[in-house]
Amino acid sequence: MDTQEPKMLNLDEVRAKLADAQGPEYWRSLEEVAQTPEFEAWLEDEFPNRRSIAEIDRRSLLKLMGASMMLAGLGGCRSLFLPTEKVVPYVKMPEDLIPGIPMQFATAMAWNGSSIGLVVESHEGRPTKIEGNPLHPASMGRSNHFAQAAILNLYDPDRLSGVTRMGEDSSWEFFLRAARAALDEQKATGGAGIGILTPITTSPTLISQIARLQRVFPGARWAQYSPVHDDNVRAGLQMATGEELTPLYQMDKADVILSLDGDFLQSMPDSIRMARDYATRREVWNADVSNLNRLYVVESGVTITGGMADHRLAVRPETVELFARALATRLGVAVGDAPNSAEIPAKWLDALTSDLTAHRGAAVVVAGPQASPAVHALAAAMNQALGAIGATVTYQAPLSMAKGNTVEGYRQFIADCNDGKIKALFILGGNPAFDGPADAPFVGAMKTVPFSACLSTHANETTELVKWRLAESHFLEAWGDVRGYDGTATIQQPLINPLRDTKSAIEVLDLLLSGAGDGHALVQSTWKEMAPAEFGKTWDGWLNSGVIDLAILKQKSGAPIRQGIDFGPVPKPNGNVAIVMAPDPTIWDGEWANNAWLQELPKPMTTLTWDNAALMGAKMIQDLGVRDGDHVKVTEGSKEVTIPALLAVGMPDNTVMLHYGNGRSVVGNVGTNAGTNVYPLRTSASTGALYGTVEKASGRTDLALTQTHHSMEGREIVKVATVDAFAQDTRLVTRADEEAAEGMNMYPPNEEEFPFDGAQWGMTIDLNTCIGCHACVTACQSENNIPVVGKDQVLRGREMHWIRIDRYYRTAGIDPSDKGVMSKNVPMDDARDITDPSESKKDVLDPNRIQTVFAPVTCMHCEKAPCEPVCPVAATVHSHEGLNQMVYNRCVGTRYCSNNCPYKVRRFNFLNYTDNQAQFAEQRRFANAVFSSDKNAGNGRDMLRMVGNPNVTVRGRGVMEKCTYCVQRLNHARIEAKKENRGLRDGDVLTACQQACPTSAIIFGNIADPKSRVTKTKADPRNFSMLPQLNTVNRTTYLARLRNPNRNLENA
Amino acid sequence: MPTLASENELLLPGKRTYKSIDEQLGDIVLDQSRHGKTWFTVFSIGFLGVNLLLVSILWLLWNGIGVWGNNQPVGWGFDIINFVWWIGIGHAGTLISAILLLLRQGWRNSINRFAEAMTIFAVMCAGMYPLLHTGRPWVAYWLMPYPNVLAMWPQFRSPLVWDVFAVTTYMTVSILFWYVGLIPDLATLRDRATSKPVRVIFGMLALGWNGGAKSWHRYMHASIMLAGLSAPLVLSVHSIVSFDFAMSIVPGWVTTIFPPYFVAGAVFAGFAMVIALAIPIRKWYRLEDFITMKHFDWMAKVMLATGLIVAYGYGMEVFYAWYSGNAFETALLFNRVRFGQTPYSWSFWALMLFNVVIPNALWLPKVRQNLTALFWISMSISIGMWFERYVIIPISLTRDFLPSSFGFYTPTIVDIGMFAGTIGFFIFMMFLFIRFLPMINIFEMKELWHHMKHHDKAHAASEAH
Repeated sequence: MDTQEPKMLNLDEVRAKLADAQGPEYWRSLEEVAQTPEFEAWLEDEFPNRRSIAEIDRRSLLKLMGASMMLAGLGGCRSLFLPTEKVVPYVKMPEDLIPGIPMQFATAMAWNGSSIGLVVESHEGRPTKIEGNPLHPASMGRSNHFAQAAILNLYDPDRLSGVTRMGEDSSWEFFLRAARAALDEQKATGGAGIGILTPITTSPTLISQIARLQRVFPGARWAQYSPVHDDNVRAGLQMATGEELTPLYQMDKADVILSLDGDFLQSMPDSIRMARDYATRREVWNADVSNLNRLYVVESGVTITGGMADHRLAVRPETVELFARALATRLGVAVGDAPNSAEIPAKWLDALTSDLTAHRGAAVVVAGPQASPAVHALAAAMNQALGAIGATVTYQAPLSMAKGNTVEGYRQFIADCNDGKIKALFILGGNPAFDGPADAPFVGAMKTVPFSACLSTHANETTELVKWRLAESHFLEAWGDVRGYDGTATIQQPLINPLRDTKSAIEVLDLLLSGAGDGHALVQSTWKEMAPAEFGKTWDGWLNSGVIDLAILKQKSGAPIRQGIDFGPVPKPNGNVAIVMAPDPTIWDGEWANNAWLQELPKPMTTLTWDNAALMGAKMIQDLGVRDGDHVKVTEGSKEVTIPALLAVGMPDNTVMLHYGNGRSVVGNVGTNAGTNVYPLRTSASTGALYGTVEKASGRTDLALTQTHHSMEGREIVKVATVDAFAQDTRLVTRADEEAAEGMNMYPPNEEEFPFDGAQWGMTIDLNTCIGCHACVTACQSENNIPVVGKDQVLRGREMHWIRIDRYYRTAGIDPSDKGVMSKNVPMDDARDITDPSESKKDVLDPNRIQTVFAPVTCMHCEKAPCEPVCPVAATVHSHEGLNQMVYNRCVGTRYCSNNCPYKVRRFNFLNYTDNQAQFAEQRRFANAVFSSDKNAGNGRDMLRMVGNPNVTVRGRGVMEKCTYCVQRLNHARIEAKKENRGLRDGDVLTACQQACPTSAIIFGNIADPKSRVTKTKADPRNFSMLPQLNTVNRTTYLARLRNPNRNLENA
Repeated sequence: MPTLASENELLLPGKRTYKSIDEQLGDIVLDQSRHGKTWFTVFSIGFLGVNLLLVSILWLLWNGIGVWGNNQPVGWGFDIINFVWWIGIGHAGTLISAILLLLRQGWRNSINRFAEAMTIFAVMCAGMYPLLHTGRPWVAYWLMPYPNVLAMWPQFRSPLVWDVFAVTTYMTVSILFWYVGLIPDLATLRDRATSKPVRVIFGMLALGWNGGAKSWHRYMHASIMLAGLSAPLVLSVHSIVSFDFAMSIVPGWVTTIFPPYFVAGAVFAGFAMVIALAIPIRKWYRLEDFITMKHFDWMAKVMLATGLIVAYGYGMEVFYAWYSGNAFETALLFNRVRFGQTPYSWSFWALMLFNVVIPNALWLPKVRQNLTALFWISMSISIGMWFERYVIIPISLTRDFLPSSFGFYTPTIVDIGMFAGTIGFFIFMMFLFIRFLPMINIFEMKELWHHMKHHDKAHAASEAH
């Protein structure tokens, strides 16, 4: 045996050597780093340990062999007498936790320059479901599809972990050492070489952290950049008031709303709140229509706000401003020059002027973020003229610290990088390399910045270019704070330890400055500073309620609107094709591109999934000679994008709408090859519309649409009536149901055939308040473990959503006998009629005649369900509470039930979707997990399993599934009621779709209870069944949509 | 009107002895050298098809129904089309062997064995589909009523359960009937076999048939009883298959005329398949003496008659759609017939061409006597009947009630592979049958010869006086 003792390693020496290391360096052992003579000898020797093998004696050899054999044998017996599963009870039980009973925590999510208050459900420490926080003024218990889908991001297998430097594994310690060195270098110049880039933020802690950094390094530059911003809004109000302000609308107080390109129901900040407020004025009970508001929308794209309009005018983007100028002039605002445009019907101006002035103090003009600053100023001036300020709108100081033109600020920031002024760049969130303006290329800037770091949850275009890639925590994993709506703040509390080696932005900043990096302490210290009196008493209360409701947080009203505003030059008419850019309705600015729920969520107006397209009106599609999916080349100046075309009948002529955020090049499994990147068209100068050309290009992309037929084909499926038609005939809506009930019926009466007892579940969906936003679809997907199927399966028509939003179009004013009843329209049959250039079709496709209706369709829970008698194995049966139940483990998968379902709400697992969701697409990850040390690889499946709702069965392949009315929630409520020894009360159960619905359009409850809300809605004269003539006796019914047109504009 | 004697002359012309009949028919089995290149070529095609079928089935079982083109809203596509198509083809066999036996139609004798075998193989092909079209075929046995601890029965209101009974009964009775009919011939082969193994095999299969009066007596009873059992099956099986559609609420499916119209369609398709198979086999095995032009004439007439019933059914579908005043039915009709206006109208007009226009050529005796024409008309009918199911099953589903869920149906390569595979399997089984079992009923031919020799001659002689 070798008797020579190895020399002790000097670990300190090794550490010092490692600390100085730069770049990719590999070493085999600590001895190599220390470069000891022993190691040198070892390295020289081909078989360094051979002596010990040769010298082993017979007895030792036999002992070793014997022991090896015995242990190997024992190992083989392991499963015989040892359990293979580990069940570890809590040694120390966490406070309040009862296994099996989910806990709820309040938090908030930053969204679109504001925030959404949330309540998150956690099962044994595992967050599973996000709902709106009822106490939060911006969500009021409601949410949108982004909030609903945020939970999937937490468990995204593609999330980053730890730190990499130039693509090589590194650590936070290495990063901090390097970053501090880079900062120290800037000490001399007062931090003039330091650049911080963040998305537009409202976080008080982050803002104070950056302020702290700027105190140490006064020269440090901070730029805020988000591709979706409110620059034009603030600029417009600066024009109107001299101060940068943002509007806060109170839609519930408005009788008449005019929207100028303002998609306030979906894509504007605080849209949940605005949608709810708007919906309160669309609720009509017992035919009392006095509550109804009237919505006029003048828009250059297609949005759900336009879909909800009582009157919609589709105009080119520059005409929106001309329209605003013309209308403002009529309302007595000194506008100066207000040239006329052929696109503006005089009738519209007359009707609007009289309607708005007739509702002084209860009218509001809304302008969208992409409208020019002048439009915002004009809207403010019109609101002033209408006495709206203080009544339906207030102008308040912005929530974020963003000042001036953030895009210009970003361009300057990048220019500084290029000029070598910025030596140390810290990007805390955002993805400017993808979504930055084309004239400030991020790629070039990175060549000149010696130190750059980017904090991001996912690998993206930006993390590819910087030197240090840092993994960011999800908002459910870290402490933070956000503000929203009226200034209300929320503490974001972590529900789970970071799943990966990640840190939040405030932690990273704190680590750079002091080295503690304790998010909890940082947030606490911010609030101790902001509200020293309340902090001690109410910190727990803030966490509990999710709302910090302090007077100091309320945004102050800004300066009044000035008289004689200079609205700037009149936009010149432009003969080119107008290019309208808007964030993607489902994946937003690209941030959500790796979220499979959102990728597969149909975009409300087009039902397109997994892609974006150039949306064009019928005339333009005809003129170009393209069909849906054919590529077109959109050119603006020297920049061009090739993208599939898609018909959107509401588009104004000579205008194309592009959704940005798609086509990410560096993205996870889900977002790969999804859509086309249109950011290259956007420059810092063009925050509004662009002008260019569109021409046919070669190639095509199959577009995965979930609805290909847009007309009701003369079938009265969804009832829409004008207020007048409804007032003249209050049985207009219910007649068909009554006739069907009276008519011939082969079935025996209910009680003879099937006894119902207990609570009788039923649902009503109010089409007057359903805005088609799709929040319910994602909520249902999250609650019911609904798998994602991927683009190729959607193309085959196999999407799995249990609730879908049908969207029908109608062309108004074609049929003289048309009383505004939706089904009485000229059928538009697929693309064929669209490409029919005949004169008779011209009017049908006139964008200004197009009216839209949304109808969410779930399982109707028919009392005489056609699916039940055809199932050969009784896998779909009725419950005594009136649920049409699906027994998954009995289902053999004949699909007969689906064929026989008139509503086609049943969904079949054609393949093993649950285990093969798009997130798993790259099977290689498995191999990586097993064979490589890469911490980011693998464990995708296990991670994604965590997002599942433990109370809902996961369905395997070959099984039919469908809406259950959230039976798990019904059972939970029943158990709770029994525990309290009481019956079920109205409101005990909220289905997932109902809970998420921003406008409370879904009403659910016990129809056997005469006092319940749902029973009352079913007695309303607006109540109707879909396809009543089939006599299926549906438990889900609808409340008809009422249009409230201006008589002077109807028949326009 | 031809006399019975002259008619029999048409069915079995020429001079022969019992021995020559045995030789001509039995040697096809016993003298394996008679199966040359043609047999091997066609059999190889069939064998390739069997492999294609196995690959398709394995791929299907491994991945799930998603490898087919079925979707929302089209839950049933090639799977049920092919099921109904194959079941329909089988019907001619049962009709020929059972109903024509009961009606004492002597002309059935030379084609019944062959048609019965065709029935069995067609039902095998058909039976695969309902089993494999389920999402979880390993639990498809739940459609059977069987005692189990859950006390769980099938749901008897579902036409699919009726299907299970109908098809399994049909399969069982068809196999029994076919086998019972084979026994005397198997005994003939046993007696004529020259090598011991062949003799032993046929001896076992012949179940101790000794040709005695008792054997014949029992045989006649068994065969008439089985014919009695089979006869209603001809009507019931396809009626029940049609209930899968007629009992639903899908526009285009829920039609009361479906049962008779499906049965007529089945006989139509079945006779077409018998003719399409008989023409080449007759030529290859020189069976012109046994399957005569008279047979083809009769079969063509049956085909024409059932074809006209089917055409009437199409007419009634159109009439009902209009007469019902049901908007969904009317829309479906327009969806089918508006040529060039709707995505699948071409298939309706293909159906009209193949099933209505072309078969009307059979009115002409010259066409019925022209084997080439007859072969191609039969092919046209086989294709037409496939299109009929295509138009009814998936195309009705593509557009039912809500325009929002209107969809499309496109079969995949696996759909086509599996269909081609069943055709291969059918050919494979048919050619094994031709080689190893007597495809024409030897004893019935001999019986016919006996009639002609003893009774017809006497009868003819007496008439001559």
